[in-house]
Amino acid sequence: MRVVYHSYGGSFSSALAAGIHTGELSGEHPPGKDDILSCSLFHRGTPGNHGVIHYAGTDEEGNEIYFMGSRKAFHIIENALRGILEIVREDPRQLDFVDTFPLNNLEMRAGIFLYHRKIITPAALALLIKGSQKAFFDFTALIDDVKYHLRKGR
Amino acid sequence: MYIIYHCYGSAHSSVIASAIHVGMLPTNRIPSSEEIVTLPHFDQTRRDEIGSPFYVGRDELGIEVYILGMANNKEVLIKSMDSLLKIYHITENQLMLVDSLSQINTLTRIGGFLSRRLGMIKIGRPLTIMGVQKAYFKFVHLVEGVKEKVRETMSENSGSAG
Repeated sequence: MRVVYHSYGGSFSSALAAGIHTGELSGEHPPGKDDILSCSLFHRGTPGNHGVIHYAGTDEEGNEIYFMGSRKAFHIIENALRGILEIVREDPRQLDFVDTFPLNNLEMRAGIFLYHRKIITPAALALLIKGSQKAFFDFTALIDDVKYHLRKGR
Repeated sequence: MYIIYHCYGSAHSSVIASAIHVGMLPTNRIPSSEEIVTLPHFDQTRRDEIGSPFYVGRDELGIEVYILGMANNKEVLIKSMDSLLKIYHITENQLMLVDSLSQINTLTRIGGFLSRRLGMIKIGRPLTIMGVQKAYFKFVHLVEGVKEKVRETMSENSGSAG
């Protein structure tokens, strides 16, 4: 199976979910400053590459995990990608999409906005950390749910 | 190889271009209103169907032709489709995307808006047909260019395979 976590910009919440899912980021505690600065997943989604599907790694069951920024066009993108798979005779059911946009809170949104425009970066980092701390268990619950459904689907 | 004609809502310009491509519409004369309005998907696609590719038919080389509406998300959609093809190890030239929206005129745009967005089919549909008839040979020209490119791609592929 292939799982694509998606959010508006693909820069933070979907990268965080994909990182926790693959084990590149801890599922025990929210990411800290060093994690955000050093983990490559957080530096791929830029406003210029919305739509690009980034590979995050594989999970313990061998599922390939991806993330992307889909702006507000996710339903159109999902229709198109599933349609393309049918055209090229691949099974669209082997591709799962998980929306992480609802897990974004105000701190994360403000943090992402400032971080990508390189405005007051320390404040942006502080906001991203605070936002992740607040929503962390929502992320782990979502990923547990995704993993449960992946196992059930086998 | 697969060809996808795309436009805003897969209701007008992509339907016309794809129909010319598979031989459902003539290339040497302007089709009648009847010929246009009876095309599958012409002025029919609903907003929730935007993004879904629809199969139109096969051309004389056996290539499958589809239509796709991208609304205002062309750039993002094309990037996501390119990524998907890479993930599935499908070479880029297997899928040819053709933008047919550039061939559309104001008359068809207004007609399409009235018919698809506002539901005023009785006023909008005749306008879209008139617009298509007025710009018909632009569509024929577009399709001829696509077929030329397909032939080039296929000869390149067979050349590199040989």
